Amino acid sequence: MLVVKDLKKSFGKKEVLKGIDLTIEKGDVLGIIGPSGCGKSTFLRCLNLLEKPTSGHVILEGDDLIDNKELDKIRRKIGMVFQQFNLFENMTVLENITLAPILLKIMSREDAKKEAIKLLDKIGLKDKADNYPEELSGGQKQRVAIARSLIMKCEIMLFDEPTSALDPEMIGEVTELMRQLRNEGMTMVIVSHEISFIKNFCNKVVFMSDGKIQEMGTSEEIFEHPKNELLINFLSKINKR
Amino acid sequence: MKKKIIYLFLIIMILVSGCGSKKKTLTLATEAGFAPYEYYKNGEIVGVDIDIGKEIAKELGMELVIKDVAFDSIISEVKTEKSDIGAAGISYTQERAKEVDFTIDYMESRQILIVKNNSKIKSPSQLTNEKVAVQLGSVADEYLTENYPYLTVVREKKFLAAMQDLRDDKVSAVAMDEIPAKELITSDMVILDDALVVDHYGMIVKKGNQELLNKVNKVIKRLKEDGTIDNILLKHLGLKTEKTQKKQTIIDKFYYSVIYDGRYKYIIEGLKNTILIALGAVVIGILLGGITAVSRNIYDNTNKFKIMNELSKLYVTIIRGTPSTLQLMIIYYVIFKAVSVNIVLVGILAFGINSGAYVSEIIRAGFNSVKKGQIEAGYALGLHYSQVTSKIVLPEALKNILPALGNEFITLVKETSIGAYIGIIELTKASDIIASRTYDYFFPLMIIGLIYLCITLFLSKCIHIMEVRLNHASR
Repeated sequence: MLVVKDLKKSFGKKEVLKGIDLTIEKGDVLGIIGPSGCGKSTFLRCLNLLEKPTSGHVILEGDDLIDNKELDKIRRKIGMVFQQFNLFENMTVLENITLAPILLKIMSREDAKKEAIKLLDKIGLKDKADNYPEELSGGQKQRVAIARSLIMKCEIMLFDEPTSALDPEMIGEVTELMRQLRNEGMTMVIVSHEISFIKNFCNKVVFMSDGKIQEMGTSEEIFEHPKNELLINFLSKINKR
Repeated sequence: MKKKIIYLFLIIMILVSGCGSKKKTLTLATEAGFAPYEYYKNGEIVGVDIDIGKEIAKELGMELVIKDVAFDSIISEVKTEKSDIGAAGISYTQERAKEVDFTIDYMESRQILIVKNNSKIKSPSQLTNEKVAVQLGSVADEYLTENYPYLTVVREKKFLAAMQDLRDDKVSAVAMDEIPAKELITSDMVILDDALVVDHYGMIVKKGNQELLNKVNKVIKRLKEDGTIDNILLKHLGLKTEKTQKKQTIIDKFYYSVIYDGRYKYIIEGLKNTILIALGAVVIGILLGGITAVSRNIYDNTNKFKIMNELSKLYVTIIRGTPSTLQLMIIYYVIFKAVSVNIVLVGILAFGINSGAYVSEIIRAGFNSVKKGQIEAGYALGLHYSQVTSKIVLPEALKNILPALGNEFITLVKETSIGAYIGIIELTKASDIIASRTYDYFFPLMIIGLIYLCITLFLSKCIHIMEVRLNHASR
């Protein structure tokens, strides 16, 4: 479904991604782990070209995103959830969700509103439709952000540290919603340093270090039978904590 | 397309200047703060030079138009043909004669010293290392600077300010023309008998304009011979000005500063022009600033509009890197050199262009204040640049832009005071005109200060209300 070929990214002289190849199948729930600064967030942001790769290819269902004039259209299929939620602060919850489908003429105003209410019901925030983001808790904001992607009928969702900015008691409500999406068959790519969450949640795991994929496998392979020395080292440090 | 615009511009320039040259008016540039040669009376500029100017205009069959500009600007007025002749008690100097042609002299002027009654200085020869006040660029200024190297010459923009320095004992003497000096001195001062230097006043015309020069010379010659000039001078010297009335009370001073002679009209006229210029300039400023800021934002985000981006950067750099007074004078004396154009319009344009650079930076700062994550969220949803900018960036940025724009408007209101440089009667010039008649700066300055303060307080209040609303709107 999503194929990444020899992806490289440099910031100035510093090469952050040193050639990454990866294939994501439909229905995959892929976790990306690795020490901080290993380039995992940058890699995720390259998947929808929020960061423009220095070279390489990102191909979604046969369409290469690099230098694609239709990039905006392809991005609709890729949902993105940010660490800091990034809700539009000057809009209500309902407006946050309906902005893109209305602006891009995917739905009429009425249909978008109906759809948004349906989604809000699903995430349990129907009563917050007319509230502004600053009136919500972190967990509520992140659920709204997920709904904002879902209304675009995205086929793959990217999660960039979705629970890192949340208070501990709110993590559950977000992971619960993600679980629901997983069970509905959503393809997901998750960058997180919540190792236990990745371990239990994802069916595939990628370990990145030093701008490269060091090891890739099922959750069991990565966490129970690690082969790469860097990965063994990484996991041992985490288990010590 | 660009060529077409340039041609169109040229055609308009030619048409405008063509219209200008056919005029049946004679424009005389002066600085009306130099009684009895030129001063304000009942809202009109009158004086010896003006009366002579009228005689000249009559002889030429033209209508006389008086233009009140800063003394230092009179020569450039004439050089750039914005005015036909200059007359402001201008003494012949070789330096000036290089720039413009002088007529035969119509008046002998004696540069004298004014001192306090109890001063030790009894003659110019006793001057050593004292402080002496003069009007900037006047004959006395040049003469003292050249011949008395040990003196400290205090250069004031106005004779009145020089007199005030003497009154306050900031200087030991004032050096100036004898005739206006007689008008300006108060009972505690005296004019020294020995003159510093004796000079001759002439009028000035554009270099090489022999035809006009000959005609003016002919008129001056006749007026000198038949005694008209002497009569004119006596008439103006005989004027009783308010300063001769002793012991004015505060109420008297207020009366003479505001009500007498309809002087409040200057303030109203000044207020009108100040507001007109500030409003017009803020509109132009927002347009220019908006265009430049948006084109720079487009370039930063999409790499399009490269040339516009460079031009915008250049524009902001130049405007922010040079004094606004200089910009105003360049626009008036260089760009609108050969065009007769409403001076208030020039002010609006100059202040607008100036303000645009600052507005541009305000808008850019506003754009940059929007959190990057908001913009990324928009892109991630499949919105393109213009949608992200108009729906997400702009509404957020406005919260920061609008109050800053309000402050820019306040700055503009105050900045308009430099419009006096090119002769715009705005508030500051209005107070100057009144002070030049009452010989008292206190009330005119206090009054316009109060008016500026009222305007800015009112605007601050508006900005505050706006800020509260904007914060409320996002809630």
